[in-house]
Amino acid sequence: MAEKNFASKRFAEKSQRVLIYIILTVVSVIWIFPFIYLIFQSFAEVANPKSIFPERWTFQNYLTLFSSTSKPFLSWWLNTFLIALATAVLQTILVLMTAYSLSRLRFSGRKALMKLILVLGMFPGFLGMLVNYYILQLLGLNTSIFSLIVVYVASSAMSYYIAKGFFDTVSKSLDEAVMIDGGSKNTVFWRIILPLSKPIIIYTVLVSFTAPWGDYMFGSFIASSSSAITPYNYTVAVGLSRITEASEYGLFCAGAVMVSIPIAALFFWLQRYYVEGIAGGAVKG
Amino acid sequence: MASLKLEHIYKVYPNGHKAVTDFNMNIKDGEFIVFVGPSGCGKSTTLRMIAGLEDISSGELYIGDTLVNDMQPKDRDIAMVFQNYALYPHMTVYENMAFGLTLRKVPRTIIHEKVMWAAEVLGLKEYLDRKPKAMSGGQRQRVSLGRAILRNPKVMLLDEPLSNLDAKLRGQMRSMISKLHQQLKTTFIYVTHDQVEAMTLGTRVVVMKLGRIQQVDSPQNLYDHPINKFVAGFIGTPQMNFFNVRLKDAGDHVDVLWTDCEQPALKITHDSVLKAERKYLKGDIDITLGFRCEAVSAEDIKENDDNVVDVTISHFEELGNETLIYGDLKEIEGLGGESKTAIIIKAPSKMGHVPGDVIKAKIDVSRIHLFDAKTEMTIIPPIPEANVLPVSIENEKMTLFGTVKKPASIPVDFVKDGTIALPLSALSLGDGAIEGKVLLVEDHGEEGQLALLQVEDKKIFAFVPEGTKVGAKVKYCVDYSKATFKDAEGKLLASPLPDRDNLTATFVNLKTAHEVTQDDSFLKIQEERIKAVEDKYAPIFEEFNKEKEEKLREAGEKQNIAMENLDAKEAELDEKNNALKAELAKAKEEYKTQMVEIKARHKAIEKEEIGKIEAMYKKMLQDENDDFKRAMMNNKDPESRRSRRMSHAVFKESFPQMKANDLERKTNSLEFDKETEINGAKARYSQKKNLLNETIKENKKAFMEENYPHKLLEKEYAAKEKELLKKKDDELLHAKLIFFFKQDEHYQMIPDDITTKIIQGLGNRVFTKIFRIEVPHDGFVEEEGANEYQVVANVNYGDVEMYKCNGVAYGEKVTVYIKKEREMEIGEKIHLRADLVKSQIYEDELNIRLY
Amino acid sequence: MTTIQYLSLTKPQRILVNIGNFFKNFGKGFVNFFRGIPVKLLRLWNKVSAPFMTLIDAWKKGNWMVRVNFFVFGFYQLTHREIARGVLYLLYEIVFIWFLASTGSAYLAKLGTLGTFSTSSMYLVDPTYGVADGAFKGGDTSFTILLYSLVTFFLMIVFVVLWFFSIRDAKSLHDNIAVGRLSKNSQFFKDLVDSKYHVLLMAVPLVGLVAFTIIPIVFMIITGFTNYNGSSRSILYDWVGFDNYRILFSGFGSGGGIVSIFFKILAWTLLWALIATFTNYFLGMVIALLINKKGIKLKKLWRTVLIFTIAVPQFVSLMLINRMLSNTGFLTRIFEQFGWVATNHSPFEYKTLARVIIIIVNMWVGVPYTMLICSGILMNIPEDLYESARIDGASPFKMYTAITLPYMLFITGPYLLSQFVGNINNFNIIYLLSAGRPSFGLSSTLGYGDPGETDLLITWIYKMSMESGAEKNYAMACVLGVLVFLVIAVLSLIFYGRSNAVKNEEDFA
Repeated sequence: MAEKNFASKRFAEKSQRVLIYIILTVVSVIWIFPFIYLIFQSFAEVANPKSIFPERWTFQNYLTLFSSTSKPFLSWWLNTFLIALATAVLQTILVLMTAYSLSRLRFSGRKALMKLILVLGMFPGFLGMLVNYYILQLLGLNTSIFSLIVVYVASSAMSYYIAKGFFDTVSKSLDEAVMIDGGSKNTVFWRIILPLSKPIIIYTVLVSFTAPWGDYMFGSFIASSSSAITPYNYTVAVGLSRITEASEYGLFCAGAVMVSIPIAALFFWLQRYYVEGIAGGAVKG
Repeated sequence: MASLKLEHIYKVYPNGHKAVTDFNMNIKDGEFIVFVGPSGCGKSTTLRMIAGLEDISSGELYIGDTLVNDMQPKDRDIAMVFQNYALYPHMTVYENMAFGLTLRKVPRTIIHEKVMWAAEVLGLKEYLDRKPKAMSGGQRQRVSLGRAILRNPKVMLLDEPLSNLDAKLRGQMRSMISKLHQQLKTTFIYVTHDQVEAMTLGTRVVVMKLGRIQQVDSPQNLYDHPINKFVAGFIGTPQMNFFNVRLKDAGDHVDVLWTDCEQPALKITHDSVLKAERKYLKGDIDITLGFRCEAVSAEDIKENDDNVVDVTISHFEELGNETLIYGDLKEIEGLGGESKTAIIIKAPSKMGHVPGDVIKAKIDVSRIHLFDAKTEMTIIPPIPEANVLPVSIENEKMTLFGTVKKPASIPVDFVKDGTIALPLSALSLGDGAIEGKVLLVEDHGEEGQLALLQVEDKKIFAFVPEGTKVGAKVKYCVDYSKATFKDAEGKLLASPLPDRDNLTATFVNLKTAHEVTQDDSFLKIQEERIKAVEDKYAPIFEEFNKEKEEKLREAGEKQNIAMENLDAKEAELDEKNNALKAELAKAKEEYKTQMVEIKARHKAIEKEEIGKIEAMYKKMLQDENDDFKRAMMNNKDPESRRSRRMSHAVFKESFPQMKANDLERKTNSLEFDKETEINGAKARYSQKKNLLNETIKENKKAFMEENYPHKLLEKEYAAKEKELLKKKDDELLHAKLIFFFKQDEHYQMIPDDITTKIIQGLGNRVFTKIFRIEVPHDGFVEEEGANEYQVVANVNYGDVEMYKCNGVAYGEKVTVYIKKEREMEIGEKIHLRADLVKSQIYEDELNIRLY
Repeated sequence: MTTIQYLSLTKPQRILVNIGNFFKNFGKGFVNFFRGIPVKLLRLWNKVSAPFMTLIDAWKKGNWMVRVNFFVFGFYQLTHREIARGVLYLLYEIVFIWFLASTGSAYLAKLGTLGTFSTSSMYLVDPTYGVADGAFKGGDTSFTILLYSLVTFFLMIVFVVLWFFSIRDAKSLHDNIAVGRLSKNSQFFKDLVDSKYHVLLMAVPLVGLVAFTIIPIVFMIITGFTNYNGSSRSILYDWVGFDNYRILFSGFGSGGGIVSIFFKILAWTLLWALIATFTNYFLGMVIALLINKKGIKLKKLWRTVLIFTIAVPQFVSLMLINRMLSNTGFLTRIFEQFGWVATNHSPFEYKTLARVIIIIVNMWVGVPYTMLICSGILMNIPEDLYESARIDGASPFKMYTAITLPYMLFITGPYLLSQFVGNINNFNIIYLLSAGRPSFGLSSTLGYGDPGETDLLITWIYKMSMESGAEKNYAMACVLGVLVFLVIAVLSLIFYGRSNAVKNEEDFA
């Protein structure tokens, strides 16, 4: 008798597992399908949305992408890369500084500041875009695309939340040990807390590096409103949206592929930290 | 190595909760002090206040003889071992231990030496390259100990360091810590809630409860002479037996009557309760009897022994070398939950008894403790509060020590066999009215020699000079102003005169005082003080400049000589440094090759190890399959075939998992060894690199000193001069600052050390606070211009004579008793001011003592 | 009603009790709120009057040097060994006064009228400027006037705060010196690195926050009270007070049916946020559960595939999906076969279909993120919960409802709220896909953009204020922006309150 239950139990388990595999494969196909479609379209000579597979395969889209002067993709890519790099570095430092002082230092306006940031998050963001542009003008920065860095980094205090969650887990007695050993709060931050928070640093760098690639709204706004910005100093997102307006879809797909691959690679490499950051942050929330 | 002084330390949290109240203690250098008490009694808070991690609400903390209240933890030269070790997870053991010194910019070589010494002492030699997470609890605790001793601090603080360890390890670490204490001779302050640790480690133990010190004494005294029921119950395992009893004076002895059960009364001698107040012997006051389980024995009890009780046994606890018999003085109903008559007896073994038996147990009355049930304080204090003696007064005659003329100012006219409580402080040595024969002498260390004296028909306690022998005669004068008189029924007739009078005052600086009084004498004092500072510094500067000129001249000459062979010296320097630089490069190369070699070696080992495991598992799988096939072929019986098939399926199911686990464990341990080796190489290389850089820098500095002494010296002297000037400015400012206590109209200058103490306690809120000055009777001084008092009565207390004076301060009537210095008539107007040095100064509102 | 009584009730009765409690707590909440007002007012009054007390106290008690501090910042500090702090105070005073004199005051003066000479009139040879060569003289542009005066206003607040700090600091220094405690200049820098380290750390982020987040939001709120139709930034406009709000809510005024559109869009926004949040959440949790099931292999593969979609910028993937759903896209052709879409028409012309598509695409974008979070939480649900459940004989489904779900809901409570708020402002999905189609057909001359069925408030705001070409009405967009904030604030208060109510739900009495 025992053997029958054992077998039937194992059979139920086996079939359940097969069912799950099926569901998972269907789910992954649904999620991967757009990119497969993207890659195929990037090789299609005549872009017709009707069929998934291109009639005629050609490498032309990539060639025009890198050679055309009206749409200098390479310089777009470089601009965005530089902006993303600068934003990643600066934003990470500011986010960590804000998160550290909100999580570990006790000062009078602490709770009020956290509430303020929560409230500010409730306002729809881009109405302020117009004003940001004018403030940049006031500071005389509005002539170059790199002023995007200033805008991205300026709002970094808003995303302190997940980093603060991480700092709360580091035990307080480390601070006290350093104070007794003779270090100041500054030493605690640089020599104890930062080396310990490698996962959260990588998470923040990753998130702030990928943000500029996807921001087309403020980029196109600045590009269109100041004459000093030529197509050569567009960002990738702005460039691609210009391409879609001219509805050259093959070129757009090629450009999209060239943008997605580096970021996806970066994500794949640092995936462990990204998962930890999100799971850690949200759980602490 | 330093002593520690805590004076009136208070810790009040913003929400008003008093964590520590009036903590006073003098800790000598090299002592091992243990703070012990239940959780939340303020022991850790006090330790953190000493460390500087929490600020002190009020009171003074001296380490050595420097005031450290406002000092940062890092400047107090203390080290602390935390409960959860607080090791830096990302640093190796070596870096953890050296972190304190690297922060203080101690040269590398010295750090290296010290770490090696500490590692030697704590047996951490081979773990120096490991990360804390790769070590056991005991080892981690030793690393945090190492980090602390490395800085040879003035005071070592340990906050429950052993509470996270298992019992066996805790024993080892305890002996390690006491060994360390003997070796280092540093002052240790150790916080724990485990009274076993307190008893074994401490030279002196501080028992605390709800923020107050209950008792400070050596472990043995705590065990034998607990000052109250809490300390008695807290110290010693198993807990002391407590019973409700009453004491009744039965002529030649005193009976201890059980209130909760009908056992025969215990008999104790009068002498054993001599220091207790007589009221306890009347049998009407509830008393708690306490004795430890080793003070009662259940063996060889003879028939007519007294102090024997019947005990019904409820259960046993066998501890191997001895057995604890749990019983009750009454029969046990139900589980005998919280019975008031439970008793624990220590016995060599069960002695053949079985739960439920009723046995006889003899109580050793010489080792019992008696506490007042209400106040829980012991009724036999080591030093009694006061001598309570029968007294009767009738028409100007007082019969106490024989009948004698009643001192005029005792406000009692008639009392028949009432009582007089004469505190020990009322009996001062000197040829006064009474003389006593010494019966016995007890030595109480700092507090002096306590003696029992026979005076006429009564026995009293009093302090006697050092070395008084039994039988000697000692004369005393009695200050009846401190006595309390009660009638037969215990009604209060006359309470003692407060030994201090209170004056209120506010704190005022020179400017306001001068504006009000227009009294230029204050300004004169100020000028004098400034001139004193000026005079003090004039010679110092003069001598300083002289020394500077002379040194510079000397350096000038040396420089000229050095000039000649300058370039030779330069060449020599370069050559020395280049050699060092080459050595550095070689070390770097070596380090790189070492790295490559380690990685390669490890890769080979890993490949080989993994290969071995793979082969092993492959063979195992092979054997299983062959065996299964063979069993299937030649075994026909269906039952065993089915079970064989089943075990084969299970094997196939668990095989991959087993293999994966094994592989993973192997790779992890290999990975771990590799990492340790790499860390080791890295640490060695960085030490060598720093060493070399250090020597290069030193060579350059030596060269500079040798050839350009003039410049360096000049810089040095300029800095010194600036320092001197600054010191002078500070002292000048302090000289200018004179403060006064404004009492009603009179302004009295406050001496400097008292001012610093007051300002230390209250900071700049000083001007807004009201102060209460408690002045002893002999602390008053007559001075023109002080507040006016009128002599109202002459108070004569036998050997001590005083004058009662009334005055008005801030509109209220104030009565003051001053010691008789000169003849004064009643009604005479005199001007009195307090002698601040002799009096105590309190801040009125929070009642915190400042001086 | 003790807990035991509550537990003895049947399921439906319990639900009734809970609902009753919810409203009772709500009522109790209001009552406490109003009863608490006098206490709050008193505390507020103390807070407000405290600074004035210190100022009066400083003026009366401090010596003449402290009084000078009322006019020259940091004077006392400079003269008493606190050079660094003194210099900082003085520096700010000088910079502020220079800014006020050079630009601030000019703009502040025009704040009332928001400019009188419009730049366009400049070209028509205005006599006062007497120049006919058409050179651009830069007349008044209301936008810059409003912005610069706002910036000046913020600088003024900082000026007053620093003025107060410098005086309070001087007074405490004066007291300390009177008591003999001298301060050293080096102490300032030591404090900066130790006790006042937060000042050093928070300085730059705060300045960034004020300049690029707070000022724009305040500007937006203020513009809601003007008639700035925003066709170009160099035109004049004036204060109109609450007219915009009146127009929006009048329903009968010149705006015509605008208020009905507003409520339609508001309803859809809330519906959308609710559905989007919960679909993402549950689907994400289900997938996380599947992946994390014990026997499933290749866990890393499944997770990487899903993370891939987070890696690729949203803008790229949404443009792509838009391509697939264009009139001739192959997805549309599938819809044609089902007969939902007429040939060569975009699926976004059908209201319900457009909404369903958007929800599905939003799931496609949002699920990986929630899956990660849920798998993170699943990993640290204590294992012994499941073991004890298994011993008690719980079925897998029971285990899910009794252990996993309540644990997840408890942990992700605040995350759900932030996700809900995020979805209300979720601009990309709507704008890049359906761009609000099918539209309500509002004539564009009215300046309210071209709102449509699938438009959220946020996309409608964008259409009104930013979209090139259409007749822009920036002021109304700002009004809508403020209303969006109010909606979110009220909802999060309720949710937050609700979780409070949950907290004190235990005492059923």
